[in-house]
Formats: sequence, C-alpha cells, structure tokens
Amino acid sequence: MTADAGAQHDMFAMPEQRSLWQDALEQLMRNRLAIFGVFVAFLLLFVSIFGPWLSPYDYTEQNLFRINEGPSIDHWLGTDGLGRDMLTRILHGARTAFLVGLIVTIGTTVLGVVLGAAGAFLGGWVDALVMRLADITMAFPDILLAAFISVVFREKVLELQLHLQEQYGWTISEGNRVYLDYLVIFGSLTLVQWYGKARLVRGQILSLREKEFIEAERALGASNWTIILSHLVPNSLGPLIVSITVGFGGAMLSEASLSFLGVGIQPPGASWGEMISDNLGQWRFNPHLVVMPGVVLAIVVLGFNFLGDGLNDALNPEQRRR
Amino acid sequence: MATDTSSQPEIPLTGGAAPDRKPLLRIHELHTQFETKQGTVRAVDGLSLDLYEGEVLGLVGESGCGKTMTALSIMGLLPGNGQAVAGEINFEGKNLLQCSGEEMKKIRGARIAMVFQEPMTALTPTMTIGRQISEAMEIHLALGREEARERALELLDHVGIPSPRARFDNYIHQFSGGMRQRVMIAIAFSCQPRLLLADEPTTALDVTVQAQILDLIKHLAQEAGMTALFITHDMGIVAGSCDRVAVMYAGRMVEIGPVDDVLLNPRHPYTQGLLGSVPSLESKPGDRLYSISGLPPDLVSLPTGCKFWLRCPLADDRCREDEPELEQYGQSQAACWKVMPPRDVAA
Repeated sequence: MTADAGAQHDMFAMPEQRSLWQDALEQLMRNRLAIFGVFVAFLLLFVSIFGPWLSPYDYTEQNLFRINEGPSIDHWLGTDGLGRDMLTRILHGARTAFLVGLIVTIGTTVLGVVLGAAGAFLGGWVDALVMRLADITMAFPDILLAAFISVVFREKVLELQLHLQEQYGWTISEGNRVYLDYLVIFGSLTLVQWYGKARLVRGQILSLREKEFIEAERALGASNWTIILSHLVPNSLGPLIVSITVGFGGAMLSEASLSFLGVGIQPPGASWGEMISDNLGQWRFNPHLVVMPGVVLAIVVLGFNFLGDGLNDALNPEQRRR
Repeated sequence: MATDTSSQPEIPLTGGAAPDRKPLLRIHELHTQFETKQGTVRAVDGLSLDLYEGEVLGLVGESGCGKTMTALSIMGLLPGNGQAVAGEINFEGKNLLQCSGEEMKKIRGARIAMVFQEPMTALTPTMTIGRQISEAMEIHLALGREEARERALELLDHVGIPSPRARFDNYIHQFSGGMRQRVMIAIAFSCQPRLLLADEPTTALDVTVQAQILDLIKHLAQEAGMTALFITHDMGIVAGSCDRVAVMYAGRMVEIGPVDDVLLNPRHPYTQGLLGSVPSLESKPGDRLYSISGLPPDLVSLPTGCKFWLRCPLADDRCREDEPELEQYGQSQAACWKVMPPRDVAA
C-alpha cells in the first residue's frame, strides 16, 4: 500500500504532522530524474572541493613529450595539446563551474530578491526604476552583454590589483591569477542574470498580496509576521527555489560560453568552456579532447535542470499526483 | 456580553427583533468610502443596523450594493483605498472603527470570525488544513501545538469531515467543494467567536451541498449561541436560514424585518422586485422572469432623493427630491414614500 492510499483509506492511522518541506522531500525522492540531479550536484560539490587531490598531476603541468594522447593508464582521459592531463583539468574545471554557479546564484538571488521585493512593496518610482533596469538588461542578448561587461570589468580589476600591489605590496602569484578571472566572471554574470529573479519575486509578491487566503488570514487575526512567514514565503519560495536551481546550471553554461569565446577564464586556468575552446584545433584528429569537457558540462547542466524540474513538482502540492 | 449602549444615541427602529434580546453589534450611520480616480465611491452610505444576540440576519442586495463592504468595515479589513469615514460600529463595548491594529487583531478570528465565499482561494494552498485550523487557536487561545492539534481534530469531526485523522495532513485541493467549506467553517468556529460573518458562504457550491452547509452553520451557531450575519443574494438562503432580513440598495438599508414578514409582505418596491425575480414553481413554461429594469446607480454620483427612483415603477417628484427614512410598517421597516398594500409576488 502506498502512502497516498494509506492516507485516504486507513481511518485509524495517526499520521504524524508533516510540513510542506517534508512532503516535498518525500516527493523529490520518488522522482528518478531529480535523484540523478541530486547525485550530480553532490558529485560536483565533492569534486570541486577534493578534485585537485584526486589526481597526481597539477592542472598546469605540461609534458610536451606526450601531447594529444588518447586515454591510457597514466592519463585516463588523455592529454591535451600541451601534454596536460585532461582528467585533472576537468576536475579543476568542476571547481570553476561550481564556484561560478554558487557565487553567481547567490549574487543574482540576493540582488533579485532585494530589488524585486523593494519594487513590489515600495511601488512608485522605485518599482519603475527596477523594472526599467530589468527591461534594459533584458533587451541585450545575455552573452553579448556579459562579454562586454567582462572585458570592461577585467581592465578595472587588473588596474585595481596593480594599484594594490603598488600601494600595499599585495602581490598575486601566477597560479592564483585565475581568481581574478573568477571575480570578473562573477561580476559580469551577476549583472546580466539578476533580472529574472527580480521579476519573479516581484510578480510573486504582487499576486500573493491580492490572494484571498491572505485576507482570510488577516480575518483570523494573524500578525504580519505570521502571514509573511507561514503564508507568503512558502507560497513564493517554491518558484524561487526552482529558479535558483535552474539558474545554477545556467550560470555554469554562461561561464563556459564566455570562456569559450575567450573573455572568461583565461588560460592556463581550467574551465570546461575554456578547454573546449583550447582544443578546438584538435577537433578533427582528437575529437575526445573537445567532446569530454562538453559531455561533462552537458551532464552537469542537465542534472541541475532535472533537479529544478523535480523541485518544481515537489514544492507545488497542487501538481502532485494524488 | 451586553453592549454598553448608554453612551450612544438611541436608534429607535430595530426592525422587528424580539424585545428581550440585547444587541451584540450596533452599526450606526456607517459611511464607507473609496477614493478612486473617478471620485469618491460611497460603498456604504449611512447604514444603521443592530444585530441581536443569537439571531441570524440575512443581508441581501445586488452585487455592489455594499454588503461585503459592510462586513469588511466590521472586520477593519477594507482594501487600501477604502475607509470607514463616519459612523460607529459598536461591539462588546468597543467602537471597532476606533480600535488600533493590535486591538483588532485580538478581535478578528477570536471574537468575530469570517467565512469566505470561495474556500479554494481563501485557504493557503501550501499548508495542510490541519495546520490552518490549529493556527488560529495557537494565535488566540495560546494553545500548544499538540493541544491545538487535538482540538482541530475534534473540530474536523464536528463539522462532518469523515476520518479527520487521515484528512488532517491533506491540502485544500484534495477536498471537494463542500468539504472545503466545512474546513473553512471549522477554522471560523475554532476560537468560538461571538459573531460570525458569512460572505456568500454557499455561492461556490452545488445546490445540494448548499443546504448541508447552511444547516451546518446554523446548527453550530445555535449550539454556541452565536450571532451570524449571512451576506447573500439568494432569497432561498434567507427564507431557509435567517431570522431577520435586511435589504440593502446603493449602500443604504431600504427594508428590514422578520423574514416571514418581509418575504410575504415586501414593502419596498426594490424588495418586491428582488422577490419577483426569483423563479417560482408556479410560473408556466415560456413565462419571462421578472427583472428590475436599469442598473444600480453609480456610487460616485448618487442621485438625489430616493436612491432607487431611477428604476422604480412608482417614483414621483417627491421620490426624486426627498430621501425617505426607515419607517415602521407592521413588524418591519422600509424606507419608501410609496409603501402600499403589497403586490402579489411569488415568495
């Protein structure tokens, strides 16, 4: 007997009180694609933290005697045009992808929620300003705008770094220069991708505010905090969580696109997009050098999209199969 | 609890209530207005109404005549651009219009509860119904989670939800229409309020379920000695469930009295029109249903004189200039210059 049938027919069962979140988790665990997404997310987290220790090579270590090799015992996924171990670079690319996904998502969520909520609650010129900014951002193709911002931004970051070096003697080692690239990517992608969440949050608040159950809640004498915490947030958080999850994959894909175009992570830093771009010349002779980072990127983004879909179903009780 | 009435002006006309009963709620000259771009909308325009302890009063009228706005004025839940600009609403010794937000929160749900028209939208979709019933009791009765849960289970059983333990953790969309309204009624009765405002409680339901829900509300209200205000446009509900009926037109009361008297001997032409437009079992196939000609007046620019004269078959010059006040006719009161022996209307 399934849990659903039990709830319908067993009159004497005493079901424990469950919250929306417990229900959602149970629902999510029944969705195989979502489980795949969870698995991918955790694998990515693990690899991005421990990746560098899993491989005996350094991601910048070159071996010019063994370039463009296929998979072997020494190099499981082969080597690229400079004799660097592909597996190591893919593991390092996972760190880049995860950091970009995490920080850009945090950035866009904070910016989007703050601006969207401010627009919805304050209305008037604040709302108009936020929404026009969103319209303007939307009017440009994301990647084009991100590429433009990152080019401008990179110069500023380099100037700042130079300034800090002169002023305070803060130097940055060659191996850590990739973190400057991260900074540029985080900034440009956040500035390009915030508007989706701002519009989502604003729309949610505006529509929920008019809902009768909010009025009914007032008629019960509930305080504003009760209404916000028990009714507004659970009803608006679902779509936001879904947007965050899908946005995570989207941010990684955007980073790969920027790096592929050469305005993202700069060599020798490792990013899946940068690896595809780097090895594109080898496409005809060693297709695996291009395919492997591409496949990894596709699997990870797909995983996050599956997870987003699963969460969408799980967090929306009305869409559940009865 | 008796209202302290000594400080207020005496309202002479009470509309045929039993004399031994005390008023629980006294609305005196209530004016509720909305500021819009088109001008000031006078949604409730000088309404006086007493609700006596233990009675069920039906408030009827067309859409937009101010029934719901009267209820929302009582609750202090008028939409943003609306305000009760004048008058008094006295309940348990307090003028609700002068209560602070915090005072009103203690009254809402605990002393005055409301049943909404459409339970599907009036209940939160992401919270189990058990939690929603417990919530009000946790707020007002300071019950712990477990106590509230036990009480909520009792309530569910009491309002006729089969196997409440199994249904406790269901969401609102998993219930049928009638069961949803039962859940809402359980919430409304959870804190044992003195006054129940039911805003078209059965409009969203099947006819067969309507009767069950009305019986349930009436039964529960009687059991708890509760006073109820039924807002409706359905004369059948009034006839079946109410003790007294008040007819509103354009924000004013035009007739009030015991249900039997008003339905059998309607004095006001508007009441006569409303009753005449109810399909009757005696009408023959092919008969046209009576309808009141014209539309309700624009609440921004109300006509002078009687608000109904534009649509009234009996209107003359006096009706166009002077506004009639409520006068006693038999057991009821009506505000009309033209009160005459009632026409033969299907009731």
